[in-house]
Amino acid sequence: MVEDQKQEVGSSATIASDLPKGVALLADLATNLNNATATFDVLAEKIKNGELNSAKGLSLLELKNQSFLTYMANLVYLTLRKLKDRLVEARVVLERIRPLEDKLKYQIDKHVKTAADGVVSADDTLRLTGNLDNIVSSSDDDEEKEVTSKVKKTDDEEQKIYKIPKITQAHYDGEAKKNEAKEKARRRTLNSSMLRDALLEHTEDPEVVYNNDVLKQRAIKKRRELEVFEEENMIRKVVSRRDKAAMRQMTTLGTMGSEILGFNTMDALQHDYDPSAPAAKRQKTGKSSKSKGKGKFKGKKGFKKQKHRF
Amino acid sequence: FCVDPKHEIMGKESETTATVRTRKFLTNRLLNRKQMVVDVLHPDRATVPKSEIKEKLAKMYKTTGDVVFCFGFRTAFGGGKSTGFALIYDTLDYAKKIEPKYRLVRQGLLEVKKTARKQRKERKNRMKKARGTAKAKLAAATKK
Repeated sequence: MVEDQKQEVGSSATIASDLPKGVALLADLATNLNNATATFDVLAEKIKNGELNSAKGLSLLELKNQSFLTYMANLVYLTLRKLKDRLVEARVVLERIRPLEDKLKYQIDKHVKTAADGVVSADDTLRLTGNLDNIVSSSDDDEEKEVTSKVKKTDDEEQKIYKIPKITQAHYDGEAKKNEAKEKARRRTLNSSMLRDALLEHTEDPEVVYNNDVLKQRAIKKRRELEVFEEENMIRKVVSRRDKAAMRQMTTLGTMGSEILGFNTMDALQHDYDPSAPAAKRQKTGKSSKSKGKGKFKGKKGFKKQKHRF
Repeated sequence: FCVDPKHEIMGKESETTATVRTRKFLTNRLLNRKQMVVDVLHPDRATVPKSEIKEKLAKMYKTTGDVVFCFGFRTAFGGGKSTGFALIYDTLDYAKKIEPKYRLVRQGLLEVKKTARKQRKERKNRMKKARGTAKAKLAAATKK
């Protein structure tokens, strides 16, 4: 902290000395520019009027004129380039700083506030750390001394070891994964055979009956793919045992059983579905079927009774 | 039912005939050959040997049998049909240049001399004992 302050003071001193010089130079520049433009205007007028015709003059001087002109032109171009570049550079730097500033916004605001107030607020959460000295057991004097010395040592060590300051927040990707899981579960229920059968009632398309089962289709597709590849490249591919088995797959209860026997719940289609949470058990409500029936009959009987009354 | 121009019926060799059909015919100018996929239909018969197929292809394409190389024949499940590939070179020279060694050996155009396995292993063990230039000398001496 002290070193930083010293550096600041030093740079400000140099700035203070250079400032009047810089201002004077700028003023000089302005006056010189004015003079130059005045003379140039006069010259330009003369040239336009054709007073300065150098056709019959000395060729050497003509050469001198031309080289001067080119020199001036190039010089002007150079200065322009330099100025331009500086500007662009400065702009780029500023643009890069902006997101960093955004990230550090909280920290900066806090520091500014502390600097302005001069006192750290009482309910500052970051300052609430445990006091290590108080965690020492009060059984032995020697132990206490050891512990305190250890604490001192660690302090020194800590100052030497560089610890990464926890300024920015680490990126947490949990939300995206959750959404993905949700999407997957949703897709799974939508494409399940149960829902498909249910939706078949309501579509107006003609019902298509395929000859093959889904799994067999996959095997057939795979085999066809391989065949095409082999015939295209005139090469016989070595198919591993597992792949061979996959190609020869038959639909058995083992492979398709889960589809047939699994009753998918519609939970995944709910808006607030959480795939990681344990599946909600279906609770047995107080209203059992018996009582429902009784209620119904009551109503009917009642109605009938009323009718009779009429 | 389309009539296939390259369609040859084999007989005499066995009780039932076998049909050789070619598909995906391509003239490979870069390698000076014609390459195709060969379908052999042979109901009631075992897989047709490559030599037979070679002769029939040669007749179909009006070349000699030594420039025809067939390989990769796989019989479909249940038998009756096998599929493989065939290459027919323009000349034998090109064939010798381009075909891989093992296929030339199958055809009988190339002879690979192989010393007995036991001899090779003994030689290797003898070489293990020598070091440097002595090793090179030993290698030259024992090599046939």
